Amino acid sequence: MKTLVRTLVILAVFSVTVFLMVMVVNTAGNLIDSDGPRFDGGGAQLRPPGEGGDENFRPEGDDGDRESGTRSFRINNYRRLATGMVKDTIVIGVLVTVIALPKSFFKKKKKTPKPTPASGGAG
Amino acid sequence: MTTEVIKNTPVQTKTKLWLDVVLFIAFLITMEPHPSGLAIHEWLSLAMVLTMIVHLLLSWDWITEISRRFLGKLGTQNRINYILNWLLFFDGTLLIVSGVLISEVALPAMGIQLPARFAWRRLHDLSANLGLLMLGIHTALHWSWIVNTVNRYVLKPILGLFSSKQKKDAVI
Repeated sequence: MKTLVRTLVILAVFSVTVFLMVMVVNTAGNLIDSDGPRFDGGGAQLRPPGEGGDENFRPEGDDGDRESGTRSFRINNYRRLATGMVKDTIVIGVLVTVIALPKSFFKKKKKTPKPTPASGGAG
Repeated sequence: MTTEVIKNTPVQTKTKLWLDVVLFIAFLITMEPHPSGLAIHEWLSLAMVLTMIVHLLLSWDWITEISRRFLGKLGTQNRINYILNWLLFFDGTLLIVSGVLISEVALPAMGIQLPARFAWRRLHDLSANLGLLMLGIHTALHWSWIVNTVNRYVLKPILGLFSSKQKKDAVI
């Protein structure tokens, strides 16, 4: 019961935020639309109408090439996915290094007791 | 920093750790919509919404405690963390809304067609990039928790297995 109430609270806050965001973006969009030119792709069609309708449109190219290229295409995709994931991890790693490491360094420095003359410190 | 205010049970902490690991990997995959494919990108993102709710439920005590103490006496780190978490929530919401509004696979598969607006696509890209930066800061601010929890619940049990095996071998 407690979890259900908490979930509903999260969803309620989420819904209010969504409502406000949609309102703000749409209002801003309408203001921009009324001021400047509308983005409509310049009337250009990305898919030319064919005999079987737009749904049956396929890009030009030999099917044989496509079949033989599928494997390399898939490997290439995995490689791109791995590269992208590593790139994002590096970004997060850099942020962690910049923020977390100096913090822990200062904490360690605070914990290290200063050598007193009685304890026979350096010098 | 979380432990300064609230102590979670070991089960809660372990669940949170594995949930966060899954969320992190899912986030990295969804950040690459072209190589992973639009279908995986959209369905995984929708699944992440549910996981995020569980993540928030597991941190509920911390959220309510800091919300109550925010205007009163509170450490700087907790205050920064709290503000960043709200920014992350708003960014995540914008990411979800814009993603749903420009959806080409998941929503049409459910029979829902929404009028697409050019602005939402740009907002989706912007919020995704901002989300990556904020996730980095979020991870950095929780770094000591991550290190301690991984040590306690992942490394120590594994090392414990090896040391107990060595003891057994020594006895034999």
